[in-house]
Amino acid sequence: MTPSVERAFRADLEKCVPNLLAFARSLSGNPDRANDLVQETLIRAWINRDRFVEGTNLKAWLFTVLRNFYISELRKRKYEVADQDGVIAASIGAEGNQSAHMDLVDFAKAFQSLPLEQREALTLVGAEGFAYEEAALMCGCAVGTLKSRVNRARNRLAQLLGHDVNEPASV
Amino acid sequence: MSNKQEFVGKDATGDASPLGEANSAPVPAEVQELIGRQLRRVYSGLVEARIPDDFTTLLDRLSAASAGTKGNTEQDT
Repeated sequence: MTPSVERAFRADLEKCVPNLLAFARSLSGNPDRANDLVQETLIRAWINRDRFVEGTNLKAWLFTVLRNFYISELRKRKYEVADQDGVIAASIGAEGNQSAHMDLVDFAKAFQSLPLEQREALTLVGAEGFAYEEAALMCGCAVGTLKSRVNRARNRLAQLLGHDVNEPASV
Repeated sequence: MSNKQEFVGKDATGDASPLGEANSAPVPAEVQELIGRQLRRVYSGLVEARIPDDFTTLLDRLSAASAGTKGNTEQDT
């Protein structure tokens, strides 16, 4: 990389940090762990910057690096740190409407109770706006599998939040 | 590290069975919309959360280290 391309790469990395951190927090539910994950991702991305193909999706590349590092760490450690302190719920800013605020807190708690693969699928597609195909590539699964995970995540959330998920029977 | 090599393969939890991925009933559209709105609201709170300065410092160090390495290489040649 030339110095100018390297400077641009560094600036692009920095722009991705807020989303990387949000993704890491939604995966791990632990702010300290999320910081470590993002630091490691930035180091790996920098070391391997020559492998990044200009013009492709840097955010998707970084999310994949982060996600795979997190999964490999989980497998090594054989445990997953849950959002025991309600970190995501606690990050919700004050709402003008108390009822709306509580709805979001309830949502955050329900979201964090989902299995990891459903959380990441829903985050990538529903929150980050990746296409199913991109998200499936990032998660190393088939597109159909990813769609199914998103659907099951929505179903579970709907149940946890007390919504009626039974559609009227067609006759 | 290669990005492609980093792919862990089938499934985050080791559950790669297609049978384990059976579709559940579709969530009604209005419930999907509500869940989508709440998800984006909660997630945007995470994206907008304060970013520790450590990351800028880390990127500064990485840039400086690589500039130093290149400088040394150029001097060597």
